[in-house]
Amino acid sequence: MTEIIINNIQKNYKDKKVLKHISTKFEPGKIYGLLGRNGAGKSTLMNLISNREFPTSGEMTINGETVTENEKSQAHIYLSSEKNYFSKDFKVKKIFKSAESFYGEFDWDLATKMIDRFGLDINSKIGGLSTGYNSITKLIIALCLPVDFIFLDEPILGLDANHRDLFYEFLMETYATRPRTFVIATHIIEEMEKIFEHIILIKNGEIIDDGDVEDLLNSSVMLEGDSEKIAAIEDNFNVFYKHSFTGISKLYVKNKVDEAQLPEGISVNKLNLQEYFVGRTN
Amino acid sequence: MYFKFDERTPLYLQIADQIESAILKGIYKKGQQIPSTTEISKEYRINPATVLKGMNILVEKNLIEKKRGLGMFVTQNSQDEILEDRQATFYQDYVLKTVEVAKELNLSLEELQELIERGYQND
Amino acid sequence: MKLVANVKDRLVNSLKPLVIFYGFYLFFALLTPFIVSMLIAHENVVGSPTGVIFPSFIYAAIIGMLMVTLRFNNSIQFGSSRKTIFISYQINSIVVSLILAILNIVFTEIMNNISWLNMTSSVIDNLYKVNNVSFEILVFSFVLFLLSISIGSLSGLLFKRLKKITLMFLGAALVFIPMVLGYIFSVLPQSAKLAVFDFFGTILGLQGKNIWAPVLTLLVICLIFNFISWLVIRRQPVK
Repeated sequence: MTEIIINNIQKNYKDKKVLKHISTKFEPGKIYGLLGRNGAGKSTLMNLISNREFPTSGEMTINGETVTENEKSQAHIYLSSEKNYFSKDFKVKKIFKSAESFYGEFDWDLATKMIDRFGLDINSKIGGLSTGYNSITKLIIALCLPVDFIFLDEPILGLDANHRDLFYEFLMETYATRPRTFVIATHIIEEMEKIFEHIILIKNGEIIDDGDVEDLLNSSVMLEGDSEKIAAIEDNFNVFYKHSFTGISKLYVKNKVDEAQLPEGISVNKLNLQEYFVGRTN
Repeated sequence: MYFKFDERTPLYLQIADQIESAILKGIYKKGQQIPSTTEISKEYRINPATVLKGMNILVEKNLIEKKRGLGMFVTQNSQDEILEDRQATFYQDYVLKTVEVAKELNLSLEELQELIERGYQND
Repeated sequence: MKLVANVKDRLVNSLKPLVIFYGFYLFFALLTPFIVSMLIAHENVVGSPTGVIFPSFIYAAIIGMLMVTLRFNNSIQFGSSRKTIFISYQINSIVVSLILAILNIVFTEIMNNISWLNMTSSVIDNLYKVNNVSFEILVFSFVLFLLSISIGSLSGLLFKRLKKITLMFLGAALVFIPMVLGYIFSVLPQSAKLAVFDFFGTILGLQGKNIWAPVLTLLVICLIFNFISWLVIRRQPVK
């Protein structure tokens, strides 16, 4: 099966190094969370993979062939990003048809269901849609194209809670019906945690975590207790985040810890993905 | 099924646990089909791989079985086995904790016993 | 598949403005002289000395500019390579130029048959002595429009790509370099001046009234501009 291999990618803008030796891979049929703070490099990486921009150095391949300027490769890749590249005066219906003419296929069954449940008026011009319905239009396109690797950059911008929930439902359904890879870059981590199978965490242009959600969360814990007691044991652990509040401290550590082995008064808690993320990227 | 998504237990274990509870309560009876991975995944917005992992634990414990092309079904002895299993861990999971809290609150053994009796009568 | 989708996209975006252009032109070309001739004696009313071909030339440049600025990002988003997009630009240019050339001839011919209007470009007429309805004019117009689209495209691409400062310098250069060249020319010795005249005379086919010379010249310039356009497009980012 095909996978996308990213090998030592570097991207500079003038003097600024936005991506520094990024290496990873995207396997078929998995849902990835691509996490990182604003400006970390997530969008840039996805732009490079989808042939929107050129890397300064390094290679990205799918099936051994480069993704850059290669239509055969790009037929497997689709990026839906924050910016709108559709002509503002095009009606939604026309955009769907245009997508179909470029890819030869479009899942009209799924599209119809989504249009109906989201309440999208496909006769409106995309320029006149709200941010939310803009996002919904882009989501429908992304989910209905015959592409194996779908990259979504902040897909739920402007979506209200109900629509977000609906998106997750459709995502899970289409993923089950037609398993393919989704790589989702988002800041809304808490809601999407259960959807991700694998996480890639980017900080300052480098990948600092690249693993299954479960493995990452199992390999770290939060120690909480009296500040003095915490300070006393701090050096025994691989601390990546500390936070104190009126005499109580929290330590995020990259260790497996047995509560029984800790001094009294210090508790061990598992971190959720959002807490882990904040700790790792602070 | 109700998932609390608390951070203490891995999600796949929670899923296994919740299905077990449902079987214990008789919601899914002997030989009955339980919801598919896809259905649970869609309903609770959980990655199917996680759901599958939880189900596989139950398959290994022989509490549910996979029938090719049909889905997952509750095995004949499932309910009894779960009951036995949980009775065995009852002391560990509930009693010890209750005693610990009771001690923290300075409740004597007799006071605790009284409370337990009251609890049974309240049914 | 991507190439077909791209070409369709480009054609639709080019032919629509074309219809508008000819619609407008027909309307004003017919109406204005008519109104004027109503106010003054109509034997003296003549069409534009450059004919339809000059406004068409300008408009083709605009079509070229629109072609490269519209829907490039969309094509990339839908998986096209810049190479395919460039090829679709070439196909589109050829089709549109051909249509423009034919329409020009037809339009001029129709106008010329309305007695008081003369739409043939008197400039081209005097230089090359060819009939409006001729293979020579067809090819000449075709190449002229190709070049115009080329100029428009390259301008559009550079406008998108270069920083404002660079654009200002480029604009200034385009204005001042001919001035400087003109000055240099004026101080050249007579023999050199003759050589320059000769050169331009040859490539524009002015001596022998040979229209094929400028056809070749314009084609070469067009190819050069297209090549520069390719250099600009091949690394054009989508931001």
